[in-house]
Amino acid sequence: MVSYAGMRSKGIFLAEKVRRVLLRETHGMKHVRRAWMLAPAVVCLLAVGCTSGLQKHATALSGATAPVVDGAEKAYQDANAIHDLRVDYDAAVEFDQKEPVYNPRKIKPLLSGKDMDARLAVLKALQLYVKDVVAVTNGTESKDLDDASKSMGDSLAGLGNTFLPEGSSSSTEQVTVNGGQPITKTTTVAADAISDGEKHGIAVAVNALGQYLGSRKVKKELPPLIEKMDPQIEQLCKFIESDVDVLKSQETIDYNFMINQQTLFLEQNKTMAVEARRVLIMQLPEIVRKEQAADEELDALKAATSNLFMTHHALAAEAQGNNPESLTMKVGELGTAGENLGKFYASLSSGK
Amino acid sequence: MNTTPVTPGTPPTIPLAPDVRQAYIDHYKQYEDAIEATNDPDLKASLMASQLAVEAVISLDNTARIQQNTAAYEALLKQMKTTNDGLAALQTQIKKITGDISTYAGILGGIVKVLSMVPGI
Repeated sequence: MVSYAGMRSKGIFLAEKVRRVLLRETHGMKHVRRAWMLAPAVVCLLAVGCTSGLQKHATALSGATAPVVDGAEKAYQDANAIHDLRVDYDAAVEFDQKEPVYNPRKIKPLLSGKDMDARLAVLKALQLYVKDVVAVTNGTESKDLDDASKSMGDSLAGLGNTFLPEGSSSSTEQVTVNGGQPITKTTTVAADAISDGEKHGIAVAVNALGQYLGSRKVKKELPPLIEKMDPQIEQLCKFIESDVDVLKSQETIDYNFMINQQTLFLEQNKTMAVEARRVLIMQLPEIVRKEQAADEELDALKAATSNLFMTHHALAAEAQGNNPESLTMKVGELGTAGENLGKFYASLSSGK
Repeated sequence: MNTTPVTPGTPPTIPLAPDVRQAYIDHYKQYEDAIEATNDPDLKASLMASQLAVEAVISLDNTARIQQNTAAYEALLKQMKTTNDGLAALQTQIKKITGDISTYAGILGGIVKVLSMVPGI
């Protein structure tokens, strides 16, 4: 149980941590005023940090999805290819039968075009969902937002410099006049009311505000969508597992048929040409190797499917705020978020 | 080993009930073990012909299960599309925030330009 007092002191600690990160980026204590201008950014970051847990889980989900999508697509194509090969063996057996008359036009694939299309469409929808979840959870930090914030910083500074009285800037240097003793000379020049540093500070604050508004939307709208999708992902995983069981069963049947037919053919035709017979005999271990490889592929797909379900379930738990590790994770993530903001600030200072 | 009997000659209802399917699978495996244990071509041919009848039922059930799943996938796709539409709408809303900031920055920039033309400011 985390007490409210503890949470508040943790918040102060986080704000201080982010402020220090930003101070580091401003290259020294003379920019303290600029760093404190970023206080609103720190407050916004406290809210933004809450979405980065989702971002991590979304990235994990993306990693867990690829093996399922690739593995399932390959499994369906392989199952059809294996079954086609079995149908070729069928042709050799059925060709000379009197009843029924062999007709190659009657052959059928294991998975029809409709069966394949339905599965590939769902896998594509899954890919799109994961891509969008990753995009939405990453969406609070974007180049577009950086550009818009910089533009807003420039505009606000321009407005300030139009209305506010000019400031002054003085510089001190030592000069030597006619080989005599060095003297100190101070030069004062007129300067903009809003300095470059302050302009950058405004841009950072606007950027943080943009991230805050974006993350507020994400926090409000994304969790219900993820929760809604969780049972659908569970269903999808069950269907894929059911497919794997069926494909495994059919592949076993198809491979057994091919091996048994070829073995029987060789046993019934011991007088055939030695070289041709030798080639057919040597094909048998290769058929078994292919069967084992296909079996391992299906096992891997089943494991990947189970992993996908667990990963999405963890994302849904994070979205619901049921993850007890979230708070600890967010403490670390907030520091990262602060560093990201610092990097944006540094990019402004270096004129990128 | 499943104890559900497999009645030869009686076409089973497809899709098979789980215990009936398991009975067919067990029966198929018995034939397979016998086929793999013999190198007598006549016995092998006879066992394979009997196995083929059992295999046909399992294959038919496999096809039915694939088609059942196809219907389930089609229904699931509709549900997933709704969620994906929601996500697309959310992405648009987030992009709008950035768009709004750009718009306001543009407006402010315009104001500064206009004011700079007014003497005395």
